[in-house]
Amino acid sequence: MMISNTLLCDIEYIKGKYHKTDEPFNSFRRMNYHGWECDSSTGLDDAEMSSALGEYVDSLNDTSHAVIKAKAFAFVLDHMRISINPHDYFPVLYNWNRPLNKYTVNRWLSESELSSESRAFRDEYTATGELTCWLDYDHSVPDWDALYRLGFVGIRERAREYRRRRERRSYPLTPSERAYFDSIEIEYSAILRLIRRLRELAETSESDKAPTISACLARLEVGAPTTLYERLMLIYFYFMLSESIDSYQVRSLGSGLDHDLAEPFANDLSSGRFNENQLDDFIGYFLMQFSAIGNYWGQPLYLGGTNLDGSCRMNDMTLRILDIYDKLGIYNPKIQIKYSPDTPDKYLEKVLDMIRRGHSSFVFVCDDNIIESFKSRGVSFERAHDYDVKGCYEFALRAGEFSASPIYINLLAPILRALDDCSDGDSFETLLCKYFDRLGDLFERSIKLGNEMELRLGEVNPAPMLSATITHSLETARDAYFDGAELNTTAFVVGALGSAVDALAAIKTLVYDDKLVTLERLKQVLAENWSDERLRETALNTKHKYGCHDELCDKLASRISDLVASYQGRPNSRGGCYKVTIHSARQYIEQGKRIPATPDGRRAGDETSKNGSPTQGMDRQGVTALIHSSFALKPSRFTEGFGFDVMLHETAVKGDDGLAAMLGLLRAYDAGGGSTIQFNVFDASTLRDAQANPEKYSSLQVRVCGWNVLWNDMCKAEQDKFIERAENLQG
Amino acid sequence: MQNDFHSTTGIVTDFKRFAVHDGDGIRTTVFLKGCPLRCVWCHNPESISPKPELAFYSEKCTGCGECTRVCPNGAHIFEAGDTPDSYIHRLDRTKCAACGKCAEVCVSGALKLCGRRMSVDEVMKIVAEDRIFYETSNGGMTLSGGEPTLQPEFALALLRAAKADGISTALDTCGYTKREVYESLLPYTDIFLYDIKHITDEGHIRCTGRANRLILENLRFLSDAGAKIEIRIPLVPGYNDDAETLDGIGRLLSTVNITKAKLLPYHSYARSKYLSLGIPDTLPDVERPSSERLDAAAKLLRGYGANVDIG
Repeated sequence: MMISNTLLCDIEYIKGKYHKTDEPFNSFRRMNYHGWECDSSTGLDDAEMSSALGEYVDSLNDTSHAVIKAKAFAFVLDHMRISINPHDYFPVLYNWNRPLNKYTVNRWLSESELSSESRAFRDEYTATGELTCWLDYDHSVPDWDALYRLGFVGIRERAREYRRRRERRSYPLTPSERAYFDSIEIEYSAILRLIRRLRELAETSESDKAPTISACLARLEVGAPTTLYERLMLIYFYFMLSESIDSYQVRSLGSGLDHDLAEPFANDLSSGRFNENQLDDFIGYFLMQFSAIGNYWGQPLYLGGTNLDGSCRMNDMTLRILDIYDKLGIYNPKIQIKYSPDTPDKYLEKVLDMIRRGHSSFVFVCDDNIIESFKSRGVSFERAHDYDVKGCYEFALRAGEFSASPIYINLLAPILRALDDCSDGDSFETLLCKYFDRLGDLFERSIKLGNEMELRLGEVNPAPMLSATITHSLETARDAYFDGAELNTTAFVVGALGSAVDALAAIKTLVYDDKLVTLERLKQVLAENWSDERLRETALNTKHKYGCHDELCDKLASRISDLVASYQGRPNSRGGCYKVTIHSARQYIEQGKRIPATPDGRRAGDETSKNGSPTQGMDRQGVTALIHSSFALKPSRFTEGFGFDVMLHETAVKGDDGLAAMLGLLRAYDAGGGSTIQFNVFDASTLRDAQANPEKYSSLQVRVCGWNVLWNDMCKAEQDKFIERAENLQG
Repeated sequence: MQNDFHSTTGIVTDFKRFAVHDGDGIRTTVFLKGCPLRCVWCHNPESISPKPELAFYSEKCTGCGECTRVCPNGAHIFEAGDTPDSYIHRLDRTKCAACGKCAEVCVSGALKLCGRRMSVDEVMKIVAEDRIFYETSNGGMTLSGGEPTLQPEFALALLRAAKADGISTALDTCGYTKREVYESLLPYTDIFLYDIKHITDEGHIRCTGRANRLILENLRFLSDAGAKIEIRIPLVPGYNDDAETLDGIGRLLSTVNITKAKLLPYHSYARSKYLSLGIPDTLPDVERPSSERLDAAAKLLRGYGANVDIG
């Protein structure tokens, strides 16, 4: 496996493609940056685009949001600045800051208000840190197989055919059906025009790469991709246009990129179209695009999985992609590895070795358990075996489910309500019941809120680009992200489980077992943000912590997760049902800021625990105890996902023994019913040095919550937590 | 029959779960208390005495005074410090019976009981918790110490119980025990992790306080009996890292059947343990051997045909 000198030289340039590497960069505002400039004759700059687009949208007479959005989309593409750069095989799309949102999605969002009851609930529970909600358009994966098979042209043609069929059955179409098909026609025609413009530009370029680029674009202009490079170009286009213009995040690059690239790779080699080094380079340039884009969550792609005949889906391409990724030394995209008991060790050892060398952008997915989880929902193996991973951890029926995730529930905050409901004399069991009542109430009211919010999902942000790839959507002429998918599910994103368990266990220890404080006094101490420091230390140091395979905590975790899981399957307002993911995204920080002091020793405003993981630093009994605690939750029953991170000390994973131990952990986690697992390998002294000398560690990354962050981007308190946890590993 | 060995009791210093360098795979290492050797570099001084003892990490004490409340013997004394708010927490070891009551209430981790009497069933309950990890990594239970054969009946009972439970076993031993003990343990031990600390009697006495004839005879016995043996050689600069000693060890390795030899570089991480136990620090004032030194030692041993790893 070689990376060519050309790619090695170009890497430094590509890093500056979508933001200038010598200027400060905030990944949360990534779309506001520009890297490579484009010739102004090719299109408008951002200000010109916004102004012209505003006038254009205001001039439209259409009433359908789908059509208005599609026309705005087409306007942006037709006037977009573009360039073919000599350092890259993938074109520059300059106006990538979702320019149409201002005149479409954002307007429609503000026009669409909730009922006063829902608004009051949302506002009150948001303020307490118990709830966070928004309309979610961040978890889409198109039907990549359809895109590969048909290309953009074929996708448009197929939609025309569905329209004709529908018109034959029921003429005339309803206004919404007409708008649905019109919007697809408009968007895909615009995509093809943009590709033509780029091809024409490539033909005028004197770059060495230009002839290869123009040939690739010429093919995509008229048909389906035939080579590996054309497939990658198609993925890049779809990603950029959906994510940056159509406002739908595309959460997987391909449906198993190793699977998707294996056949065209072999064909390119056997036909003599490209040699192995060229093909490796295409993959390298492709991966570099996502490093350049730099979204904060890390752009996911997955590898591996299970074939229809039940065999392991990994192949030589799996190792090839991993090798290239390894040599590039990047952490974005991030890679999910679907593995099963029959996945050969060599694939997993390759990834584990990369992890212990510092590549922490990997999540392992227990493929067999997730397929079983689909089957428990009544999905056949045939349909479930190639499910998509459509976020950090979220799972969805391939090309059949997008499960919007509009509601983030915090499990810790309702404990404060339960404390208010109790007084001295009430038993711990009574307090637990009050907590479950409060939590149940939060879920019930959230379902009501979610149902109301999601009725607006398709109106606020129609999804023509996505819908055109989804067969069920075409058959029903319904927006794929609204109610036109096979399964129109909604996900609760549930976090702070470790903190909630620790808080309940601390109440039991302090108030009921050791009788160090009364319930009323504890409430007062909490209201004063832990005015009794000694009591706080006792709370922090009690042995009952989630993640320690502690009997009390594992039972509490099990009871809480049973309640949470019971909301799976509840109907939503789009003909589907609710799912749950134990995942906190960034809410462990954001909700934490709003939650007052809690009985686990946490001060007001501090972060809560993440995902299905323990409170940072509290997994004091080692990794096997931590994994056992996770089993108490039955991770794979959470049909939308379950994030779980494990920290290992670097001395524990060195040498052959260490690699075998990592593999043993991975296999055991799967065998015990795991869902997803990710590793951080650290030495506390390295982290301390990084804190003291940030300039020496500008590229050190840690995995925080499904994605990596640069060590130097974390605040000191967050860094301290990581150091504390790494120190615990040393024993 | 069950009572024959399941109810046997012994003194356990500690457990280490996810032990990955004490035999194959992921293991739980059970440290038994008491050791016949006095290695000058000992990094488990809490395992030397056969009796339970209290470790006191004074820097972790927050001055809560809970220990004084529960101690039946008044072994914990708080005295005024140099400044009005300061205090000195003193442990009177002549009064401490190592009952562990203070350690139970010490939330800051300043007090830790090293060693408690446990039954085989109690130990195996903990060991069996990680069975799933043993199964996925070919791991199991390792008995270590101290020197586990110093509690021969307990060690035997633990090994039997593990085997009866389908858990693979390893015995980390210094070799200084009666041959009969090894004869009894042999059928229940999948691998012996066998220490060779020096090759000459004089050198061994200097390093450990004991001669090594018995150790070498036992090694020969286990080798002849067909035991699976991994040799472990702590490499301590100035004590056993000279070419002559390593040559001697290399010659020995070439005459016995072993799976591999592991060089364990000296480290000085145990200093705080000596302090906490109130016992004299015997750790040599030397640095960890350099990687070049380790590589050279490994190369020398490999010259005698041994499969050598650096641990």
